[in-house]
Amino acid sequence: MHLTNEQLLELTEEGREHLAQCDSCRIRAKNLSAIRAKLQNTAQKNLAQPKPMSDNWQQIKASYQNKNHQQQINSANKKVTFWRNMTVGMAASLVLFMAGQNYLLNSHQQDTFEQAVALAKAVESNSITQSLLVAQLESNPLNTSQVLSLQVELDIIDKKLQQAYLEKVTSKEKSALWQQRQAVIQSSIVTDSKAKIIKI
Amino acid sequence: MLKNSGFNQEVSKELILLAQQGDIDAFEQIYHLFANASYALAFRICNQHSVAEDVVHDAFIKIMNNVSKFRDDGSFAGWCRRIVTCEALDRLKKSSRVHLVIDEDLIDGEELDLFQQDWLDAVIDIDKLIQQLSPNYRAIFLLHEIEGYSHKEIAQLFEKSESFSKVTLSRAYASLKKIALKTNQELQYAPN
Repeated sequence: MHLTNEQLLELTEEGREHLAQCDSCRIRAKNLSAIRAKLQNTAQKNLAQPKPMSDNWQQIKASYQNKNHQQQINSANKKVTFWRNMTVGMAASLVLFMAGQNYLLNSHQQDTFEQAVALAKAVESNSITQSLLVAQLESNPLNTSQVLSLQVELDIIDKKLQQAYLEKVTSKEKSALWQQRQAVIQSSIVTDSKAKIIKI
Repeated sequence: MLKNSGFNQEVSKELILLAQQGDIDAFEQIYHLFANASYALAFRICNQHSVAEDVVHDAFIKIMNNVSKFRDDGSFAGWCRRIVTCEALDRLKKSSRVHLVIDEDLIDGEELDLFQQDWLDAVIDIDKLIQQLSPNYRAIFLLHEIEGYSHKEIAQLFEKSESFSKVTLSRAYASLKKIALKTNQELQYAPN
């Protein structure tokens, strides 16, 4: 029994033991070593020969910078979309606020006076928190994934709010939604301590 | 193999850190360290100068874009080499539609006297000989015998089994031997 070519190409401990006893396989292994040595020699010679590759760096650098520039443009476009959505969101909030005020005047018979006041307060503090976020974003912009996640969360709550006003649900339920909206915005506002952590 | 050439060169942690911070000069240094080795590797696999240049170009863009993902748990040179290899294999698969023979087909017809003689001894241009191998034979042969990839790594690169890599290597040797003997014979009978 002799070693197969595959066994010879990838010698195991057993294969080495066989080589020690078998002259025929030892010759084959020696030939393979000689072939491998020549292959390595050729590869090293090729590596030592100068290639025209250093000239290509400028081309690679230009492609890389061009790609990065394109990514920055895309990211800026996303930010513009975010601001547009924020403005639309702000306008929607104001409309909802006005509608809320109007509804508050007409439907105070259904809700208690305290609930109506709580709703008005929730809407107002929502607007204040949103203004804070807008002011903060100018100095400390969020990254793309944060922007997208905030957008999605606000969209969901705004739709629920619109539905709530259409269905004329109680002021208590609406207040809960406004508070939820405020909490989402609040979580994106970087406090001093958070800002320090980010800088670290 | 030479210790300080090609992908055997070590890259300092400082240089990697600078590259991860987007320093273009650091990238340029890394490029100059590995450009020749990358080109040689790409050319061996793809067998065409222009394709090899494209492979190096695209591989380095990938290296630059993904350097932040490199974790200090392996050699940086090895990481770069893997990107170049994958890029070259992708090109090879796209351009030549490499036929990956199934394992069962390969097991048949093994040549047992493959290494009874040093048939490479009389060959003058070994590179030319290797270039005549079929694309997948050449790729696996070079990755294992020159670049030092294990059968396990080759299997991952080709999304095939380890036995596929082992058998293909053996068949590549058989094919190379056939080409070498034929070339030697032609040289013997060639008019002076």
